Amino acid sequence: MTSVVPHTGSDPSLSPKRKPEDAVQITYSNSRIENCLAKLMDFISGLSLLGLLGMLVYSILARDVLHVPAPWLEEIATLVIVYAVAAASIGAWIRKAHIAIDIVPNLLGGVPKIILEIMVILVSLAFLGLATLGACEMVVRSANNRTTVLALSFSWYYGGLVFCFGGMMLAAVLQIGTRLFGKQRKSFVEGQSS
Amino acid sequence: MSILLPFVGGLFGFMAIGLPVFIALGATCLLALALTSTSGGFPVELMSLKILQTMNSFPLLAIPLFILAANLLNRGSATERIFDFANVMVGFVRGGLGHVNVVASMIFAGMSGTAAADAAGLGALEIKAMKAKGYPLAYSTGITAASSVIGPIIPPSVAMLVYGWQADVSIGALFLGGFLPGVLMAALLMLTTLIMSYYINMPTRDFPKFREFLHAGKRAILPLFTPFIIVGGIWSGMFSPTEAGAVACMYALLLGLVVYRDVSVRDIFDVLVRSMEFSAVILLIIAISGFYGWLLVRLQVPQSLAASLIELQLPNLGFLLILMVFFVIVGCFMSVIESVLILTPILAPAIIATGIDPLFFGVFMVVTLSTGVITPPFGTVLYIMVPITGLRFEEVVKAVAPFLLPIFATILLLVIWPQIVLFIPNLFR
Repeated sequence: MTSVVPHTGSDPSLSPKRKPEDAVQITYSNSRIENCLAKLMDFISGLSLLGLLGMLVYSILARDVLHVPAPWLEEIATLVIVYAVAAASIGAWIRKAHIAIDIVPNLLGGVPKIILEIMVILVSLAFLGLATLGACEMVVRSANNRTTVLALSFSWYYGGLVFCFGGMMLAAVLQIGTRLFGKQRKSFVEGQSS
Repeated sequence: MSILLPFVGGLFGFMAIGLPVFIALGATCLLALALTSTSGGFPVELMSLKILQTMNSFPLLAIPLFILAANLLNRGSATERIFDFANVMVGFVRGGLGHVNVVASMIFAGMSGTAAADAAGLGALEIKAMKAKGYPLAYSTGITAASSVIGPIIPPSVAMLVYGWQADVSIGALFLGGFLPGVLMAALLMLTTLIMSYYINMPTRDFPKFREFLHAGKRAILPLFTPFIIVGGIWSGMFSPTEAGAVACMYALLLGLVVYRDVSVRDIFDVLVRSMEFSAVILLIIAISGFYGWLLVRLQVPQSLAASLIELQLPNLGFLLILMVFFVIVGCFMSVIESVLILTPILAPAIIATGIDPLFFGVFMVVTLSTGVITPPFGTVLYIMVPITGLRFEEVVKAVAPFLLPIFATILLLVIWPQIVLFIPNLFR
């Protein structure tokens, strides 16, 4: 969760050549599993955005050039964006790129900071757990609720939310496990108290 | 109204301890629902329902596309071409590269929708050129950061897109409404530069030869078309704002891959991934803010606020001045898009009730909140300027401070003459 005060001041990689979105990104040493997961999510989200672009261009061409409007594309495009956001959000979670404001954590140090960090992780996990539960419930309830043009079940859309929140929850559990029991435990504890 | 304090207080409390904004929003809503619900417990299915209802919105697809278009242009040589063009156009005027800086930002604002894209893309180029010409670093830093504020004001603007979608105001009209305030801000920044040029050394270039004009114009002509394609396409009815985003992306791809050949296929995938991640962070907050907005209405918060404001019987001018101070303070702590998402559902009904044009209010809100990108402690652009300039954070803040004056003057002028915003949209109504 990158702070709105991004840690770019001391980040030598933020050279003038870097992209604007890097302003809210920090590099973070992750385990191999986390890195692989992040790369997979990047691949899915990048491909989805490319697909979305292709669909919108096709919809303009179909309407204005071929004179065969494609209203079904809107339904597919929104489905794609749900999954793209889900995959990119999981990637962002692993890279700690979600926007957060860390006024209080920055004021604290030592044990109080560790306690606060644990509290934040627990509240995040609780929220993500509840959100996943709610999305699972809606997957079941919306099985017969369908879109107008393609008659797609809304369960597919809610499935995207399960993927999003469930994926972030798993990533959070993985991060805690790696930090507490993995090789990086030492640096995690040092990082928390520094 | 009694629920407003724990509602907003809970949200800021959750955010202050370092929870990601989307979790802080969601947790506040769940807590508020659990407290006010008669059946007790957390209605988690309701949250999913509202999140999906928000995400299942075609106009919102424009956000990743506008971000992608700006990043594609930044990756190629478009920014450099725009800067060279601006240099030929105004580099010879007293104040030299200071004016070039503002004009280049204004042109680039017509292609990107965020201040960060301007500061990180053009900023590095501008600082380098100004350093080479011997401009004081503090001045260069200040004008570069300040001119990036124009980014979210001149169309296309991601923040206005979000406001238009939330407040049900025409996105095309908002885009047109942002044009004159953006130009006004640029003019006041240039005036400040002109005044400062009498006190500090600002070398100018020679008046360019006609051939130089032609050469720079020819190099920049294709990137310069981007704003016309976006705004013209939307207003002519050729495509929706979302489709305009897609067309802008295709145009940026065409320039980078085919015409200038300065963007590789490998670059494109990298840009796609980064743009999607940046967009997802915003879209997730937007999705949960849909639930937040719905809950506010259910708890009658905006309606009560509107009633209280009407009871106060404040003139619109006084009301807007109070809001201006409030937005500047909020902008210091939150990003423009977050603030628009949180404040629009609360304030929009009150604005309509007081008779203020929601179109004017949207532009006024975005312009005022945008100053937050260059005010401490959380100004994103300030943090982008630190590695670009090599200055310390406090030095960047100090360098930017004089340029807050023309920006605040712009906001004040908008409050006094709302026609600055409404003039162009009214021509098309």
